[in-house]
Formats: sequence, C-alpha cells, structure tokens
Amino acid sequence: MSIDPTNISSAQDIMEYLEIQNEPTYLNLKPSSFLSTLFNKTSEIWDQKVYPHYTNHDTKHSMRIINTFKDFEPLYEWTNYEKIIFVAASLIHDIGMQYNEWKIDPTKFIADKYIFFRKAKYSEKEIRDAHELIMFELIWAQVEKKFDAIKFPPVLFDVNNEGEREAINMASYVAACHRGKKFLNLFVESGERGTYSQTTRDGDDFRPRLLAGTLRLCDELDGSIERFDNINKINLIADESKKHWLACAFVKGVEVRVHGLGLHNSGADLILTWQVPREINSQDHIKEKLRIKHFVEEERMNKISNEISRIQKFYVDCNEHHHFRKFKVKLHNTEPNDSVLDLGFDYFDIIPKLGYPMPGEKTIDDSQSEHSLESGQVLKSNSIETRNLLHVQLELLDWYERNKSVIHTVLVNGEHTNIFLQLRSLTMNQKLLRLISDYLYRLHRARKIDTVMGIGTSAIPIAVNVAYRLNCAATFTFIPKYSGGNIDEGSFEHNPSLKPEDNILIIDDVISGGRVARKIITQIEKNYDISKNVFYHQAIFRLGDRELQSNPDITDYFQIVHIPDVIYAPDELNCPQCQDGGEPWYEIDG
Amino acid sequence: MIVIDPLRQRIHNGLRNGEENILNNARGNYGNDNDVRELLELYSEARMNIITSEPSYVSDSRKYIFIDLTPFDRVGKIEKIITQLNESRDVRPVIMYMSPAVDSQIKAIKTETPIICIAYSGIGNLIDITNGTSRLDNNLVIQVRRDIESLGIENNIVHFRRWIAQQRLTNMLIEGDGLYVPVKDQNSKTIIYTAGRYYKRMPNKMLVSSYIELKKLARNVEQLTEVAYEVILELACHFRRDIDAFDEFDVIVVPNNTALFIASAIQAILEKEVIPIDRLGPVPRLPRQRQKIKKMLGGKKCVVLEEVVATGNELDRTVLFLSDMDVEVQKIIAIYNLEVGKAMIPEAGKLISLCSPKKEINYVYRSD
Repeated sequence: MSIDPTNISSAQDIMEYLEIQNEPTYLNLKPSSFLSTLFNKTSEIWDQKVYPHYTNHDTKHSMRIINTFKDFEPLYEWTNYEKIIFVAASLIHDIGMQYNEWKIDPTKFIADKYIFFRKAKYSEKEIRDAHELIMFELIWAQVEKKFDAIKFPPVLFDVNNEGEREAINMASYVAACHRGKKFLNLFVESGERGTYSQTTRDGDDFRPRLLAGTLRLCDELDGSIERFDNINKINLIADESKKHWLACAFVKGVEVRVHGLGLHNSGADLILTWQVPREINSQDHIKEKLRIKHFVEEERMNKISNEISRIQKFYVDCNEHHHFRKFKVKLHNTEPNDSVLDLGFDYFDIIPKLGYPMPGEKTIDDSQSEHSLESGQVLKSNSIETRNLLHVQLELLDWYERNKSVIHTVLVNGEHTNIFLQLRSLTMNQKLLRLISDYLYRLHRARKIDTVMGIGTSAIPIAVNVAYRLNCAATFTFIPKYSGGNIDEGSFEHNPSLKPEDNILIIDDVISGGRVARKIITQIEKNYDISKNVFYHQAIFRLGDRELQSNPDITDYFQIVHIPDVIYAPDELNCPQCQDGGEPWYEIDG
Repeated sequence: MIVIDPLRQRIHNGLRNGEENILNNARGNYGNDNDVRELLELYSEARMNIITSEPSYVSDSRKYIFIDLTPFDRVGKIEKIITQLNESRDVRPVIMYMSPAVDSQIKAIKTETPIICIAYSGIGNLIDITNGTSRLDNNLVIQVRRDIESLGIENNIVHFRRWIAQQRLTNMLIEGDGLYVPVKDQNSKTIIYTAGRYYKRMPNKMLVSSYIELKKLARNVEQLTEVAYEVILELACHFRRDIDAFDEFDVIVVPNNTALFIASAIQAILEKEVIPIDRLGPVPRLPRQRQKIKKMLGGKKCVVLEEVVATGNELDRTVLFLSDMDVEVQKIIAIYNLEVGKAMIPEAGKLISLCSPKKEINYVYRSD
C-alpha cells in the first residue's frame, strides 16, 4: 500500500501507513502528538509557496519520500524510533525554501553560529543553495526558544518535552544531510563513539547515519512528473535548473524492487519509468525517443547513480559499511499517457541546446575529453567513463565488504594490519575482472599502450584481461616478500621481458604508500631509457591515506577505489611488536 | 600438417571484446559473416605459406589444410564457407567434423569440386575419410589417410589433436621466441661452459641447456590464446559429445605465476575459477593462507595446470598440498614436459603433457 500524496490529511495517516507504535518512547516522546504538531505546522509553512514555478518541495514531496522509505523496509527493518525521526526529517528538510516568507528579526541573530538568520531576505539562488542550512538554523533557534525573534514559522514541536526536543534536533541533522557535504562530513567526523553513530533507543537499533543516507537517496529518487504543480512554467526556471526540471518531466515514477533478502548481497533495483510525451511527430519518433532517453540517462540515472555512490562512500567513511546494499538503477519505458500534457514549448530544441546531442553525435566536450586522455589526465565528467567508474566502484566496495577480515595480523614482511584482504577471491571472479578490465580499457584506449604489466600475484589476471581488450602485449613481474623485497634481475620469473620502446601500463591490485610502485619503476629504470617511455600506474584498491612516495617516473597514477582512514592495527595485548610501540601500518598479501 | 581452428579464432575475438560466456557463444553461434571472412583469410594465409615453402616442382595434388569443425554442433553459412574454400585447387581443404548436424549440412552442399571430409563419431573415433568420385580426389583421400596412419597414433580425434599440439607447441618454442638458449657471455656468472656446450645455472644450482620462457612466448596475446586453446581442448576432452567434460571439475589450480598467466586467459574463456597456490615451500604448508585456501577449495574437484614440468618436484608439492586440503585432483595438464624426472605423487594416468620437446630442443638438465 502506498500513500496518495494528494490525500493525506493527518499525521495519523502516516503513522498507520508506517505502523508507528504510539507508546511513549525515548525521553517520553509521544509519537502521535509530536508528529501531528509537526505535520500541521509544516503544512502551514507551505501554505503560500514562495517559488511556485519550482518542482514542489512541500508535504506531497515529503509523502513520496516516506513512500520510498517504506519500500526499503525489507532491507533495513526500520525500528519505531527510526520511523518517527525519518518522518520528522522528511517533513522539515525543504522548509528552508520558504525563508523569504518567514518573519524573522535578524538583529536577534548576531551570534556567530547563526549565519543565515542575519538577513531577512535572500535571492532565489541563495535560498536554493543553502535551504538545508536555513532549516537547520530554524530548528536550532526554536530549540533555543528564540520565540521573540521568530514570528513565523510557528514552533514545530513541544519545547517543554525533552523527548520532542531531542527528536527534532536529531531529525534536523538527518534532514540537513539531504544536500551538500557539510553535514555528511559532520557525521563522519563524529567518530565511532559520536552522537550520530549507530546506537539504541528504548532497546531498538537507532541508526542516524543510515537515516541520513536513506533520506538523501529517497529525495533524489523523487524526480518525476509528480514534482510539478504547474508544468508550463519552465521559462521561469533558472538555466542551471532547466536540465533537472526537464529531465523530471520525462520520468513517470520510480519503483523500488528489493532482492536478495537474507543474503549478503541484498539490494534493490531502482526502476525509472520514463516516457515520451504524445506530441512527438511519428516520423521522427525513434530519433527523438533516443534523444530523450539519452537525456534521461544523463540527468536522472547518472545523478541517482552518483548519489548512491556518494552515500555508499559516506557509510564507508563512517565505518558503518554494514548499511551498504546493492542498488542498481534501471530504465523502463512506457507508452505516453495523459499525465504528460502539452508542455507549452518545443522541448526537442531545448534538449540539444542544454548539451545533449543524439548518441553518437560529437560535441566540443567529446573532443576535449579525447584531448584530455592523450595528455594523461583523468577525465572527470558526467560521461560514460564516470558511469562505468561508479558501477565498478560499487561492485568493488561490495566485494571489499564481503571479503575483508578484521583481525590483527602480522604479515610475512613483519608489518601489522587489522584488515586482511584475500585478493585471490577477487581474481577468481571473472565477472568482476571483466568489469574492471572494461573500465580500464575505456580509460586507456586512446593511449598508445604497448604492454600491460601486472604486479603478481593478484594483478596478473587483471593485466591479461586488459591486454586483450587493448590488443597489446601482456606480461607480469612481482616483488618477492621473502627476500626482503629485492628483485633478482637475472631471474626469469621476475623479468617482465619488456621491449625498450614499450609504453607500459602497470596494474597493481593494492597501493598504500607506493613502495612497490617505486621498486618496480626502479627495476624498469635500470633496463630501459625511461625518457622515451611513458608509464602509467593503475591500482584497484588504495588503502588508507598514507602519502604516496613521490616518483617522477610515474606520469600519472590513480586508483579505482579508495578506502580511506589509515587502518591502524589496534593495540594487541599479546603482540610484542605492538607492546614495543612500533608504528603499525599495513600491506595486503597478494 | 596444418590445422586451422575456427573456434580458436572466435574465442580470441571474444577475449578482445570482453564478452561473457565466450566458449559457449563461440560454439553455439559460429558462422556469421565475420567468421566466414576470418576463416577465409586464415586459409589464404596458410595456403600461401605452403605454396611459398615448397619447391615448385613438387606435385601439387597432395597439399591440404585441415579445418577443424569438430567443436561445433552446427555451422552457419557452411555452404558459403566450403564452396569458397574449395575454390582453392592447389591446396585443398579437409573438413573435420563430429556432429551429425554438420554431416547433414555438408551432404546437402552441391559443389563442383568434391569435398574431402573426415567424420568422427560422438566419442571421437574416426569413422571415415570421404571424398568425391574423381581420380584426383581419390589420390588426395588416400594421401590424407596414409599421412594420418603414418603418425602412428590411434584413429581418434584426441590422439590426432595431441599430435598436432606437440607440433604446434614445439614450433612456438622455436619460432615464437619462447626458448632461451644460453650463449657465451663473459659478464654473466650464471652461464657455464662445459662438455661442449653452454648451460645456464639455475637458482637450485643445476645446469640447464635451455629454458622455456612461456611468459615471453605468451606475451603476444594471440600466442597466449593459442596456448590456452590447447589446454581447453584437453579440458573439454576434445569436445566429445558423450560427456560434459566441464562438469567434471570445479576449479583450476595453478602453482606459480606463469601458470596463472596462462590460466587467466582460460578463466576468461571458460569462466571457471582459477586459484593460485604459489609459494609452496619444500614442505608445502602455506600456514597463513591455509584456512582461506581450504575454504575456497575444500571438497571441490580440480584440474592442476602446470606450465612446465621438469623434475616433477613442484607437481609433487602441489598435489600433496591439495590432498591435504581435501581436494580431488581430476587431471593434471602440463603444457610442456621436459621429462627430466617423474612426479611420484600424482596417480598414474592423471598427468597429460601437451608437448614433450626434450628431443627436439636437445634438452639437458645436469649438475656440475
């Protein structure tokens, strides 16, 4: 059952839909009272929309977000308190957009912590760019009981109830995460024992970081024709918003289909149903349909995928990897129907002007991107390479979560780690190898690579796959761990048999400090005239933030997945080396 | 004898394109325009090699090239393929096949020049070498039959292909830059001259007259595919139709990096997992990785792939380790076997050597 956003009349409807229990909960919070007040007061805030030409941000938008939240329930099994906080966050997250209607006395907000409340009015762009911070300051001010300074909006909660104060405060942090990085970083920096870490409330799990990530995703997913109150107002939209506005117009809705429940790789398919309006000339139907599909892929699918990647990285940064799920965005086409009416303008001309040619047509951007590849710079854009990278990153992060061992280990080279990766299981996975090699092929195909060299053991299969794709030679070498890392140059095993004129792509499975890369390059330096050759170094995983040892012979270097936070080996009472205070870091056994 | 393997070319294209399910797709969908064009190009190249390598006064009625269609159950555009191949009068195609469907397809083709075919049964036994009715073709059929009989092998596809593998892999060593032969080098302390020839001193202090550099040979990815293909033929039991050969093992185990290098191509083709268990010491224990490897391998059936077997010691360590891991070894495939020693631990009959070039390369393994 889903909520009909146009038919919500009370918080009670929401509570019934989400099956929120009404018993008093953490710090004597009474759910019905709290949510009813919040629902009624936020509805008042949205009574007169300041920007009616925008896609709607009001309670209907909040209800659609709550719908999607419920769709994710099988994956996360929301607790009662989590549902309350999420509903609250959904209701308040966009109220900052109404700031110019509020009656605030800026003179009462001269304290440093209030930044936005020092002015009574802002421009449309300023509001749009900071509305989550505006919302946050409102809640803050109300928690601090600055009622004399705020005539409107009304107070959103019972200020004398400790439970409601705590709940609205937490909801404001979750809500502020829906946009930008400031509050996400706050959640990351709060550390393992911080306020926003997973904990329990009234005996149930409470996962504020998961709620923050979920709100962000649900908000991004609500980009469809339903966001429009008045579809003909595109000319009033600022140019930078036109793309997003128009892309939403072609999307009928998003459906969430969960899968793999109970398995380690559970997740959901996020299916974007898109459609072509009826006005298309039937003779040009296919061509225009392709154009719109390309547009929707770039503006909606790509953005949603970006957001998923950002959220998954957020969970990793917070050390709450267990929230990670496999989300995949898919497109589904439907026939036009009456919900897409005459837009009042010729959007077929607008789309190419916004930078979306037909697939296969070249633009200035395309030629610039080829130039960028030739000069060795990594392409950063909303291009197919970016989408491929996101897909690869998600798959690798998923693999990382399932295959890491969190145990204190002393490696064969004497170093400590508290994360051990069995990389052999990655190289046994041909599907993953194909994904990685496909990405590396796209990245390097414009370069004149003569040889792909894998650093054994784990990078050898990757190097072979990439060499086939690039149609160049393949070879390998390795750094022996038992001999102190010294390479026997006379050894057939180590000798990669490079040709002097080769341009080489080096592939390593893991890089941390760049020590192995340095040894390999030193070996090559001894045998070849490197002033003529070009060496690229590509790693699959980069672990930690240890500064890479600089090496001028690596013309560029990049990793596919960065697992941040230096992984220090925890103090191990029985480990003599830890006892001596030796500085631990890590290296992954290949 | 020259054999063209259309399946191998198709597999190579699949690897170049990063396809999924390469082997099944290649076997199931062979015969599109691109396949036809590539086969004709390969045939033309092979034909030119034959023509230019033999003196012109040798009779041209006995030159031929095998086209191995045995892996395919059906071949698309087979009429076009055979008609165009058959236009070559100086070097004739001999079509090898196993499938009854291909047999029907061929019999339905009407060509001016009769088609020379070798039909094999579903278990690989040679049924017949067939031809047309002209005297010229009878001579060719007789020639082909005699040439195969002169190999001294059983009339079975397995033996014939293994004979071809021996020739191919030996030629690759010699012509494909895969054999290191020590020569005089005053700057090197590891080149030793004794008993009339130069030797290379290996890390175990033994002297070898040459060294198989499979890494160097397989640097060229086309040659890598060629080597991988010979291994796949063995894994597939040469595509016998009475068994599902790929069901008989779960994983491929490799004991060193060079074997992993070759096996990586095989993994990409077959999508069978390849597990390296390198760095086994003299007493093969691998204490750190034991638990993890046991979890990956325990209870499974495996094929061991060795790139070069010389004394057999590495093979013994590998099989001993696997036995300890509760792994059943179905088959051991050695790409090159230098027959210096004999592995003692593997069961008799499990080791298949694709190429034993000791005599051809005059290989010597000795102490000082």
